Amino acid sequence: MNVDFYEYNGLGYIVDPESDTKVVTVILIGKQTVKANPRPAVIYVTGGKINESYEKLEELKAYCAENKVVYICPTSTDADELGKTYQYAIDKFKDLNIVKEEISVKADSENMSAAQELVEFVLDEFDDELDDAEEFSL
Amino acid sequence: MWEKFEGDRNKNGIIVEDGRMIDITDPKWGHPDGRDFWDLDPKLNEGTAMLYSPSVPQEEKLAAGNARQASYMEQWWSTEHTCDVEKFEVPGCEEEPDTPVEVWVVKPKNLKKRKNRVLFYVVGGGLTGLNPNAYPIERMCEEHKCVGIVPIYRLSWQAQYPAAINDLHAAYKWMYNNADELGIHNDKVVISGSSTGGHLGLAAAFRLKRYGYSPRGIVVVSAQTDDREKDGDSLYTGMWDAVEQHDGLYNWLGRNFASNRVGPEALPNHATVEDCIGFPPTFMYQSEMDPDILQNVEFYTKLLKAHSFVEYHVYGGAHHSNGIWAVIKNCGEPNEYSTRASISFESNIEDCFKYDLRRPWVVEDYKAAFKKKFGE
Amino acid sequence: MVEFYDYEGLGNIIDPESDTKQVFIPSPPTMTTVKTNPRSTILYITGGRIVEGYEKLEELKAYAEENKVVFVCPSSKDPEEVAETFNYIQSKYKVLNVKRDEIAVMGDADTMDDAQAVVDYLVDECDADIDDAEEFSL
Repeated sequence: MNVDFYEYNGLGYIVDPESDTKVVTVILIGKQTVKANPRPAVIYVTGGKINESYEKLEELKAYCAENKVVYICPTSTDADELGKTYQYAIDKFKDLNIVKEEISVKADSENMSAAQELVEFVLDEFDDELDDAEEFSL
Repeated sequence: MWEKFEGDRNKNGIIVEDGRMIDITDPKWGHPDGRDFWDLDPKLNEGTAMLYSPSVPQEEKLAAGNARQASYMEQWWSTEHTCDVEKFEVPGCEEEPDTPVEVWVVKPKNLKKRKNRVLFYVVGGGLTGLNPNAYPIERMCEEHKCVGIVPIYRLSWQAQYPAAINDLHAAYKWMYNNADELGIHNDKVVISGSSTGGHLGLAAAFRLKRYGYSPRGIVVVSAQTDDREKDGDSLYTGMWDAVEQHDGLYNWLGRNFASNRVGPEALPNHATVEDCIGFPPTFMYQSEMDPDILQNVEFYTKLLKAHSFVEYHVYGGAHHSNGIWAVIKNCGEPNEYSTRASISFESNIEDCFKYDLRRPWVVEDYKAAFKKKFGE
Repeated sequence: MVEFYDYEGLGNIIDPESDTKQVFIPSPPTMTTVKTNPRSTILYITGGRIVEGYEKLEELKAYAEENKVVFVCPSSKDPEEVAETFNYIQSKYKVLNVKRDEIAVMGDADTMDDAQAVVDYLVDECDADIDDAEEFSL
């Protein structure tokens, strides 16, 4: 399966396995292919470790493909900045083909407190109750 | 003279010549599901009408109005509430700093620990009565998980324009400046209210805009938007008809009634399109038979031209106080029809909280266009 | 008290006194009395026998009162004309204080065929959701 890896809004990188697609009829336009079966998403707080030169990038891509999950990996560890990533995810949920209600926050061991701050920031600013941040490493 | 204004329907010498108004007394005009209270005996409304009647001396209005307000408040404070309600006295706004304002803070049990949404709820009542018992304030706070801020503004028989707007301004400012103590998020405020609550909510939003405040949205029902009658409106007479609206606003505006000297902080449709640039997302729910329905539509078009996020819902076969509003403003018995309107109304409030529908770029684009046209 | 009155020249209504309650209309603030606990309706097809002077009128009134039901008694038994009565109930149900989806069509022993023809007509032409006609006798 093809897994895209791309930068988003200057905030970090996204690991995005190829979506399922389906053909729909759009009035006045005709048949169109659209993404189907939206996936859960993980905001993965690592302080910017996930970039083009991340040594386990291929492993992470494989993990995303196998688990049908999108990893959104912000560079920052500041709650305000991480909030922008959350905002991006909920604004662009259609393009990203993710389920807004299934966003979780994970971090490597060094960034757990920043990740938990994001969870609290999201409750304060977006009124969304995310589960507590969990540790994730490959 | 037309028979509706004869006998006990006479309204103190008001003339309605033939062909100037449409009589909607017969409930055949109404949507079958919303005909509650279609035509009421005007005697029932005498207690309200005397409070804005130009024929009643001011002392009589004060005595009757104070007695009625006292009974509303006694009822409110002696009723068991589902939310915690606390009363505050807050400083006056910049334009009337020496006049403190009573503000209620309504907290449902399902709040977050901090940074809660706010429903800035303006109670209606024709600027003659402020009866919190008649509006679903607590239910709305619970449903939207938000803190209610309820300003107890001055009524027309207590003080004329801009007193009520000053009071709303003071309440908003106090709420904004005390966000942490109140456990609220001061950038997540939705203004709501019905009838006069809608009118004052919209009008106060122009004041708030002038002072740099930016509510998330305004969701109102049966708002009065204009005091100036035009050829082609004042079409209907019924419950809260053109005569009542005329007298109610006349009592509030005094010598400034129907004048272009006062702007949208008095009545929203006094706004120019330019005044509306940067106006908050607005959702209006109106009745076909609202006396100023044409001005409401006009106000809506101004918001459209100013590129605000705006929705306008108008219900056919409905007047100001009938069954379509049974859920939204406790107006009779809820049914499928009134529930349908309420679901839409409540979802607009929820959307304002959930998404930021404001369009700050419109103001920036306008400034840039202005500079381009007229220079720095 | 049970009222007996003509409606729109189409027939007569037997209407037991409704329960009432005081409600508050918020804008402008006004107290008023409204009917409450809407009743079910019997659309009683007799070909016009229920008029002033009907020998069992008092019995019928007593039945209506005891069973909290409104009798709507069209003069005609022609389905098309009875449909006018049906539409009258549909549009005036608030004033009549009846549940407009609780209408039973009933007839006398000698008008049962007419009553059933009314049911068929109302189902076909007025989208009515009503049961087959039943016989009513005191």
